[in-house]
Amino acid sequence: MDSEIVMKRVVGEVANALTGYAETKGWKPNDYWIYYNINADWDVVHLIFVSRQVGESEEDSYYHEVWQYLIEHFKADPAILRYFSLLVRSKSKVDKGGLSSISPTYQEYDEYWTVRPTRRPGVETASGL
Amino acid sequence: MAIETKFASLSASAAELAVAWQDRLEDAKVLISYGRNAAAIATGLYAVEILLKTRICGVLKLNKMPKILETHDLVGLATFAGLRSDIDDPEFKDSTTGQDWSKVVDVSEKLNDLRYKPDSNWTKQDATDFLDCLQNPNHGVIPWIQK
Repeated sequence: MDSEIVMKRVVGEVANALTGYAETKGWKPNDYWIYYNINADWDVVHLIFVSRQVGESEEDSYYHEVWQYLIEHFKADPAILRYFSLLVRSKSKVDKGGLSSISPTYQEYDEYWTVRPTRRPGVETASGL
Repeated sequence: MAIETKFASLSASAAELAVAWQDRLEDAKVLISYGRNAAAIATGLYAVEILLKTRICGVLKLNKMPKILETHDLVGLATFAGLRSDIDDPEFKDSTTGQDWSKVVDVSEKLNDLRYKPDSNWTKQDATDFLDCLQNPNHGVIPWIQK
């Protein structure tokens, strides 16, 4: 199967799991954002999970909590954990830009998933774009 | 350039690369001290790239780097450097070093921003945090690549 198709499946499955995590925390859909960047050359997906509920000093602790959730979520198919990397980001840090900004090479995932650019006028994103 | 030529042609020498990555890291520290934060971060990225290329030359027993490795793709370079099984390992991803690696790869996606946007987009804290991801003796990316 084409690598990009496989990587898109990975994005969909991980995004669903991250949505499940957000629901366990009681986060509303407008509390969090999921961004992804597929590197089909090397069969890897980079994901950034942004939440306004994550404090600026809490990114690392949330990362470990989210990662443990994903390990449990994918315990029947742990191989998927090898195909993606994850960063957990505070919305307020992303809004400040700089090192925590979302690169334009990333796309935003939503529940009506279609692959499209992140920048959409008039729609709030975690990057503030 | 034809792909065959890229494989055949050789670029910088391994000995030069082994010195150059350390020079770029020192350059990054100097740039931070002068408040040039974007340039410090970009130069730190170059240090990682060159260190990976140095490691590839060692793994492949090459005196010079093949031109096909003239890329900024850190995942690709890490793959050639024999680090892919580490990077993909879920336990590594849960470690501080694994997180630092993910952060460095994320910053590498912003290389064009670092080149073309004003320095005011980055703070001294950004540059300091990034250099810590690179060189922290306990969990930094550079000590890990050197192992």
